[in-house]
Amino acid sequence: MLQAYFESIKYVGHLLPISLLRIFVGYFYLQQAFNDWKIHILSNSVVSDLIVDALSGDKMPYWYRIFLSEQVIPHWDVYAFILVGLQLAVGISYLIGYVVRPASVLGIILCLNYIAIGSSSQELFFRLLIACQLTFAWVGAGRCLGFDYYFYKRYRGMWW
Amino acid sequence: MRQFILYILALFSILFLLYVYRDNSGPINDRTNLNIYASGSFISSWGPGPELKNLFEARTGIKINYIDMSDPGMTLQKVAFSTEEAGGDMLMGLDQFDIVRFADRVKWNDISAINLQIDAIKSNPYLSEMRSLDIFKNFIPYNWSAVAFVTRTDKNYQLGSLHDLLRPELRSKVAYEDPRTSSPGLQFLLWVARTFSEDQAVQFLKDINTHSHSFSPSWSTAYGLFKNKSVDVVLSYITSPIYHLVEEKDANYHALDFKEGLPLQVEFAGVLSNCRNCEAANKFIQFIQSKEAQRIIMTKNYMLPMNRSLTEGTAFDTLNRYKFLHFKMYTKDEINKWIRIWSDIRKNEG
Repeated sequence: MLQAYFESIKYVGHLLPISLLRIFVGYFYLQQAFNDWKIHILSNSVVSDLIVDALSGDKMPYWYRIFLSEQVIPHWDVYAFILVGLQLAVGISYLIGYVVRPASVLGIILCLNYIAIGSSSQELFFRLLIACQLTFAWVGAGRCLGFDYYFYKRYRGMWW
Repeated sequence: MRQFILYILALFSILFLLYVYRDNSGPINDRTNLNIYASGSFISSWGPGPELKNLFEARTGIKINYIDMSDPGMTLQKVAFSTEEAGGDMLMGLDQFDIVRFADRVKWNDISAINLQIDAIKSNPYLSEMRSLDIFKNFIPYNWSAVAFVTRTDKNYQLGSLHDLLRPELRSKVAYEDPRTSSPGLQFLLWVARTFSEDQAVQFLKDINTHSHSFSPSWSTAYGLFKNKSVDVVLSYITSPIYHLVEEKDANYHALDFKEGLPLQVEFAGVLSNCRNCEAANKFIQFIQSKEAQRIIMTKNYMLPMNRSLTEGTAFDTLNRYKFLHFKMYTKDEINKWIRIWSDIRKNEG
């Protein structure tokens, strides 16, 4: 498997720049996950600043506001755990290049969530991140410098 | 797809185990500790926080854990959202606007029995109106100052009223704070509203908007502009020149006295009703009203103590010559109305 990991550079080397971008984005997600783990899980923080800030503004859709205030905030510990888990899953997936295509879908959903609750200054960043992740999913960015290459060779299919 | 589902399940299982076996013995979860929400400047090494903590811990044996509160409004909203226990027991650094705008969303303990500031307030003619306010039941004031324009003495500006800020030589020379994000900025907005009729105030704000150097999001940003000499005048506090005098031995700064009188800013502390260690919080409330604690707050926070006798013989004593406006609590509607007016002015001019 490790041999296939490096072999991928030889056979699908044209994907290398996108793979490097994938690793960088993976590092970003991992960093987010570790920060949120420390803030929301270990220190029992009450609610994310981002959500409180978003609920104070008038930007998000009405149904999402109701969802946040009625579902997410009363059960914040559970949602914080799921959020950290998803960030970690996407981060590790991008970093090692494993199941990158489905992970990209998760990553895009996380970004859409950030856009809905984030400030307008952050919106452009998350839009760019969505564009990057669409590209990862499209080209199968895990096939170069990633373990997806190994599984693609054996099983083929749209998931690698 | 199966691989992906297995990957997610494995990862969440590991995460769950880490969650179950996490170390829960941190200071914030220790019920014998006192957890205090306070601003970054209060708890920094140069602020009064560390010295107050050492003195309180030495006296009572109760450990203090400060929780950095970047924005009091945000912290209060977070506390309001918590269904059970918040992380902190009490909160310091609320000004009169925070109390009006956000504090009603949070339940507070009645601390009127341990409020020792009544006499101090009675003796201060500018703060005496505070006595009759309901907020006194849940909050105790622990320091105050007046908002004023600060300049360098060598600039030799002779400014004595709000109208003087529109003088041609001051075009792009004054740094203000944005009232939507900064407490002194909001003080200035309501100062103008209090001084002029509504039409005059709106026109004055429109003129100031085009005449100013900038409206910074925070006091520290505006004061940074002043310190690096990008501007000659900054909206700050009357106590700011004392800081330069005492800490930097630089007497080249002074606060301008305006004939309209300078608006007062008071900082309050309150105990949250869902506190874990309420008894310790009450002890701390009593402690910050003591002479020793008030002196630490005065010399480290560069704000005036509630007990005026403490300023005698210090650099703070020179501030008695200023003319202050009487303390006033604005309603939420008044604040929101003027913030809206300000936003419209900025939108139309921007």
